[in-house]
Amino acid sequence: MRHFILGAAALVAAAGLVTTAHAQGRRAARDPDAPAAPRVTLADLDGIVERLRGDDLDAVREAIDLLTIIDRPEVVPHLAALIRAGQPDAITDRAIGALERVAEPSAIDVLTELTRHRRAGARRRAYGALAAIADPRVRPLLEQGLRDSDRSVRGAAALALGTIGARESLDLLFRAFERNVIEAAIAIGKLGDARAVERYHGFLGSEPLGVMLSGYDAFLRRDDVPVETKKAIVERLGEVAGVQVRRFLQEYLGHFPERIRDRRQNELKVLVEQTIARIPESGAGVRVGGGS
Amino acid sequence: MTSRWTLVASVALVGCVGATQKPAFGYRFADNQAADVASVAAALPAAHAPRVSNPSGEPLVVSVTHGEAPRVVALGLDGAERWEASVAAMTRPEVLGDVVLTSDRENVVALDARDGRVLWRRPLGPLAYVGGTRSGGAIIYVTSVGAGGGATRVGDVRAVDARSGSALWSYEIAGTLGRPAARGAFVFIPWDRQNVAILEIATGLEKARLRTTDDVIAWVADHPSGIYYGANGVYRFDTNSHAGTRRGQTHRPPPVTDLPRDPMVADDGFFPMPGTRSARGRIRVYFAPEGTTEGRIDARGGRFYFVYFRYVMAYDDEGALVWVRMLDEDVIQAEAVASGLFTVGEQGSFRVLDRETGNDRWTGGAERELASAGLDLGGFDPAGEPGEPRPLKLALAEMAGDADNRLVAARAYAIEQLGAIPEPDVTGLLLDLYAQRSVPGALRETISTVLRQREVGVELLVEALSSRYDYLDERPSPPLDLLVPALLEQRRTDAVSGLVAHLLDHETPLAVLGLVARAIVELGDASVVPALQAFLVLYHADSSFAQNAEPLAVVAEGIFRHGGEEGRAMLTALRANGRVLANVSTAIEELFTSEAQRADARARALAEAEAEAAAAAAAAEREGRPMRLSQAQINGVFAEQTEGLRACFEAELERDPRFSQLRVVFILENTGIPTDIQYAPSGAELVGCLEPVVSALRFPPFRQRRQRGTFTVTLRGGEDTTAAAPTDRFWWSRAERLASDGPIGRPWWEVRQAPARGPAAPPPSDPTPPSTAPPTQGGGAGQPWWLEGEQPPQQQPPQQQPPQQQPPQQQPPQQQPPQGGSPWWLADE
Repeated sequence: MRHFILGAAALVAAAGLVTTAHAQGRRAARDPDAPAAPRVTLADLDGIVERLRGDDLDAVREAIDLLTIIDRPEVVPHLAALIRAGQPDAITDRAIGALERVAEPSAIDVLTELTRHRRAGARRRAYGALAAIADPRVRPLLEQGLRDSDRSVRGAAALALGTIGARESLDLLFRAFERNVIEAAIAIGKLGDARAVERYHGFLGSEPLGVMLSGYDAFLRRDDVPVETKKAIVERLGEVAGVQVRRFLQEYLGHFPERIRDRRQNELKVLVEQTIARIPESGAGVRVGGGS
Repeated sequence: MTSRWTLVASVALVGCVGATQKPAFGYRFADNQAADVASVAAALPAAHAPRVSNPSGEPLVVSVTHGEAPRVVALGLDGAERWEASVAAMTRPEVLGDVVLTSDRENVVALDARDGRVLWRRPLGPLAYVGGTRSGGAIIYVTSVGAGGGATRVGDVRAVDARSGSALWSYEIAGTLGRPAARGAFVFIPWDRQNVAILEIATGLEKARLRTTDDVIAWVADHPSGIYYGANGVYRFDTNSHAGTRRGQTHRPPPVTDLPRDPMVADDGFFPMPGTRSARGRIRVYFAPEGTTEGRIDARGGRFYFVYFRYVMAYDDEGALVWVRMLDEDVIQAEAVASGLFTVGEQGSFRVLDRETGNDRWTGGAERELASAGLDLGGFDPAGEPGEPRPLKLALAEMAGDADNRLVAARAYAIEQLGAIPEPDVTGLLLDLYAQRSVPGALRETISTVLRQREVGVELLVEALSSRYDYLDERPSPPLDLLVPALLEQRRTDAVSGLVAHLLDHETPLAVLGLVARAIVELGDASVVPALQAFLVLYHADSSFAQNAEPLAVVAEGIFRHGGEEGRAMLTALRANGRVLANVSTAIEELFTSEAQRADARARALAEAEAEAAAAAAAAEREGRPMRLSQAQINGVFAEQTEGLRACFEAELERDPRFSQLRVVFILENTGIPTDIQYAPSGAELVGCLEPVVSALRFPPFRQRRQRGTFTVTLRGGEDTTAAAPTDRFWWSRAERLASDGPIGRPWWEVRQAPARGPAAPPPSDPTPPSTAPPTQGGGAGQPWWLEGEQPPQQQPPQQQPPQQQPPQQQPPQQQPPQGGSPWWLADE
């Protein structure tokens, strides 16, 4: 049980890293509920850049934030120069965050450099920032992140591939999953088709159940996955059974609306209910991969 | 007789003063006696072909089984049991003709070699069975204790009837005895690792004794070709054996000297060979001596075999490695045969490893857990098709990469042997080995050492830099801790680009990053500066190097060394940046400080060197100075001040027309400065005029502390002549000189004018009137005025002045020429 909780928590946290960053990217600055941001425009750029060059780290941080508010391609060179000039960790990380918010393709070069930074945190953030940029150059860079020696970087890269919808990377994600990049399960769940589900089933028993459920969760929540495929997943989970699966299915059941007009969706819901009913509330079930 | 000798020996042991010489092992026995040795050598049987000694006539392997109920089994080469004996043998069985000798915990046990039944037992007492030998109907065996140290050192040798075990004779001594070897009528017993006592078997009397003074005797063995003894090296018993030293005996040094664990070419004869499984005896060099050729002991088949548990290596006569072989089981016993090495594995397999290839030439035995084995192979030499030899480098690499960590020492040896092969691809094999995760650290160090020493295949090291870490492909980073030192050692500048790539690669472990940076700095030039600058700038404030800033410090050093003024300016600016890591700032500061210190040191060294050079030059110059100045040198200095002196003389002549001579006497310091200057005449005006001129004279320095100097000017009528004192010290030398150089016999007035104002001067032959004209009117351009007109030697005073030519009486005494015709000034000198 503890294993599952830890694994699930890690996955949720890891997923949150990218999805939150992604969501916060261009949208957060425009959140109507957020405190009113200072009014800065491109005309203020020179003054802000001057502050970037100062010795006062607080002023530098503020300047970075102001550049984020400007949110124009013109700020990228200044942020890149700031990063390349070598900064304390906090400044570097903030500048990477700013690049993520700006999400401009012109930032790809400096972010690529940062994917080779010696500090794993910087690399991880760089992959997150890259994922926010809609550019064909991003996917190969994220794939490269799967080869990183640091597991948190590999995880961030895997999640980012799922986030940007890099279906072409599915094989590589499976390979990463085989090499214990557990975050790849979520990405596979976000990207895989029915064949991928079959392939994913193959990891049942060899990977912790908590990790497997994170992938199944991603599969089941997608609208583009056929109901038949989802039913196959539920049936397979029913074979596995166990408290962990029961709890997972109960949570999944909560996502269904009270009344479902779609017949096939209804069949899926019924199947989930039946599966839950078949699984004893405690004790019984097949232990898979030490996940429960 | 037995009891009497035992008694005698015992008496001697307890310290009684025995007037009788002991029949053997006595301390009064004369060792290394040529006659004794020769008589024994002459009586020994001639060499014979190897032959089986057991009564079955077939090769036999007598083993102790391994397991809960160990027993002694006699095995044919097919592995089938010929017989077994329920004896819990503690020592390795020895096949001695129709008897197999071994020991259990309490007894020496003799088994019938035909059927394994026990023939006799004799108690061991507190001693351990070391080994036995046989000649004819007698078995001689030794029990001993103390070879490994300890307070008790006792050796006991007994001769018994082989079949009955009845005693023939025995000795017990206060020392250690080793496994004996019998041949013909004699038994050779090593004693205290320094002696070999040679006893006549029939009588037990000692007939000869060998003692080595520069070696150790750890074993004695009987081979078909003769008796051999030694430790790491081998001696052959012959008439030279009395020499007592390696040099005088028939000796062969160890065939290979750098083997792990320093094994001997035979089992140590002073220790029991365990019957149970043990590491003792698993590391050995095997060879079979086959007589001598031109004084050198030959090895059967020309091979030496080194066995290290389950590794076997073969060497040729010169000690060159021929092949290596890894077996799948430890070798518990082996014997060199003509075609290779016969081995007994602890799993019951028998093999003959081909002498040329190391492949199986023959296999036998049967699966059975064995602990030890005694061999009676005779001349077993199977035919077989050993196949093609496996390349030595591949076999060595396989051995080095073996997973058996009991055998690390031998694997390290294999790596050294592999590294010595001058083929480029061996470097690749070593790199592959290093990359294996199972390779222990000790072997990695060996590989690193070997690679640094290799001069071939270094390009593979450079190529290896192109590899990069990849998690998905399970590809590790290249072994930079191995590669970089080797590249540095080989000064491979073509590796710089690869090294820079690894510097910038975040997968390069921090632990080796400094090493990589160092190699870039040492091997690179100005072209690496941009990369170094980018690296330093990016990380100068990053926490990645907060704990270990060595890589950044080295990078800064590289910029400092290769970046010129621009690089130094960049470092200065970076240091001024308040965000730079403190240790990086310190490192940069130290670069400048240490450079300034080095510059200071260089300047000091330069100044010291210059001072030393100046001192040396001054010393040389002092050495080059004359001891004292000659009169000619003094005159020369005065000559340089002609004009100043002339003015004074002219003024004095005006004051005193009779002024005809000036004499200056002074003390000359060795620095060339005149002091205590005295003038004659010493009129105030004259002295006042001369003083500044003469005081200002600077003479050449000389070595003597000071000397007396004189200078005399004689003013003569007519043409002025100088009277600088000649250098002749004695009057006769001047006379001789003049006699040799000048016209002899001519009156002086023919060769020199009389003084212008001299009283009673003889009539000059030269019509030139006396003159007081300034001496500049004389001839001889460039000469001082007082030298002008002087025409040596004609103008010198004649050598033999006649009496009538003596100066008049009123001449000052000092101007009178001395007797014998010497010039007048010499008298003053």
